[in-house]
Amino acid sequence: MTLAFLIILCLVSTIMFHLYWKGIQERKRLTKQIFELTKRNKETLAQKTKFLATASHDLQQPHQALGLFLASIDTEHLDSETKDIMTKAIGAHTATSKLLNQLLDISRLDTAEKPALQQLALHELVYNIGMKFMPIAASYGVELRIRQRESYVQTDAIMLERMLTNILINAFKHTKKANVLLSIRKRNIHGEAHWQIEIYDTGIGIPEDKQQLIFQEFSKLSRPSTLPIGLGLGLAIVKRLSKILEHPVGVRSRFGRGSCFFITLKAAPSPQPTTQEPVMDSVIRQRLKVAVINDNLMLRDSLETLLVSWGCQAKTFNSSSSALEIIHSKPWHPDAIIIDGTLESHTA
Amino acid sequence: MPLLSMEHWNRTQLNLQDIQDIRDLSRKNISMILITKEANNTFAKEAEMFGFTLLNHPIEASVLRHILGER
Repeated sequence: MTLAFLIILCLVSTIMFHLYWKGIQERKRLTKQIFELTKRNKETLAQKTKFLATASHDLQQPHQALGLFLASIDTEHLDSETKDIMTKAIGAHTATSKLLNQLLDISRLDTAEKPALQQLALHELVYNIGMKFMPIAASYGVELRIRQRESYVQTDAIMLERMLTNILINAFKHTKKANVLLSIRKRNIHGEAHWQIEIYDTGIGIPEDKQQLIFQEFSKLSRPSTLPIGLGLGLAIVKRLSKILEHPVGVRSRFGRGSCFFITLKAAPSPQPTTQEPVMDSVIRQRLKVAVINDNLMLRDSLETLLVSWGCQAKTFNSSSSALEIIHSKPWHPDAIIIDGTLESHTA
Repeated sequence: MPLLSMEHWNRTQLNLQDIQDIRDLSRKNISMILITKEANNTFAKEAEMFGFTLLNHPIEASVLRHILGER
C-alpha cells in the first residue's frame, strides 16, 4: 500500500516537474521572441525616422526654390484669372511649407540631442510668450489673458517655448471669438512642489475617448472646414518635447465647453541673491509703487500681474487724467509710471 | 525743457500736463517709462529728452525689471 502510494507520488512529481520545466522553456522562448521583435521594431523605427528626415530635407530644397520662383512672378501684369490662380498657388505653397517644417521638426525630435537644461524664471518666460501672442490671439478673435506668479524651474527654454507655442496656436484655432487663459499654478505631487502651466480655452472641447489620441501623429479630430489645413502634428511635437524634457503634458476637456492643457514642471528653488544681480534684488526689496497708464485692458492686466509678482504695488489706469484723479483724492504716490506710447509710435 | 511736438503728444492718451502734475505730487525721483514700438523716431526721442525711459514693445519682462531696478 505504502509502496503504491510512493510510486504514485513519484509519478505525480515527475509529471509536475516536466510541466514546470516545459513552462520555463516556453517562457524563455517567448522572452527571446519579444526581444527580437522589439529589436526589429527599433530598427524599423530608426529607418523610418531616417527616411522621414531625408525626405523632408530633400523636399524642402526644391520647395524653397518653388517659393522663390512664385515670388519672382510679377502678378501686376497678369489678367485677373491668372492672378487668381497665382494667389491660390502661393497660398498652397505657404501651407505646404508649414507642413514640411512640422515634419522636419518631428524627425529632428526623434533624433534629438539632450535638452540644454538651465534654471529659469518660469513667470518671465510665460509672460513674454503671452505678450508675444497677444496680437496673434487678437487675429483669431480670441482674448488672451495671462496669470502668473513667481516660479523657478529647470528646463530648456527653447523647447518649452515651442511646447507652449503649439498648444496656444491649437487653442486659438479651436476657440473662435472666445477666451484663452495662460496661467501658472502651484501643485503638490507626491509631496514634491511642482509648477503647472495651464492653457484654458473656451473652445469646442474634446470628447473623452479622443483626449489621448490628439497627442498622436497625424491625429485630427473632426473640425469645422473653416480651420486651416494641418497634418495634426502640433500636439504630437508637444508630446515628444514633453518626453525629452520630462515635463508631463495632459489635457482635461469637456466636449462643447472647452479644454485645459497642462504641462507639469518640477519646482526649482528660487535663485539666491548674488552680487551679479543687484538690479533684480532691488525691485523686490524696494516694493515699488507703480502706476500703469494704458488704454489696453489686456496689457494693463498683464503688467499688473507681472509687477505684483515682483512684490510691487501696482495700480492701473486707462488714462493719465484718471491716474491724476486718484493720486489727488488719495495720497498714493507712485515711484514709477509706465505709459503706453505705442499708439503714437511713428517715424519722423 | 526741450521743445516737444505737442501735436504728437496730444493725439495720444497721454496728457503732458497730467504727467507733470503726477510728477509734482509724487516723489521727485519718479521713473517714467514709455512703451514704444520704435526708439528711433521723433516722438521717442522727445520723450527721452523729457525724462522718459523707453521700453520697447513687445515688452520683455527682464528689461522692465532691469529699468525698475535701476531707479
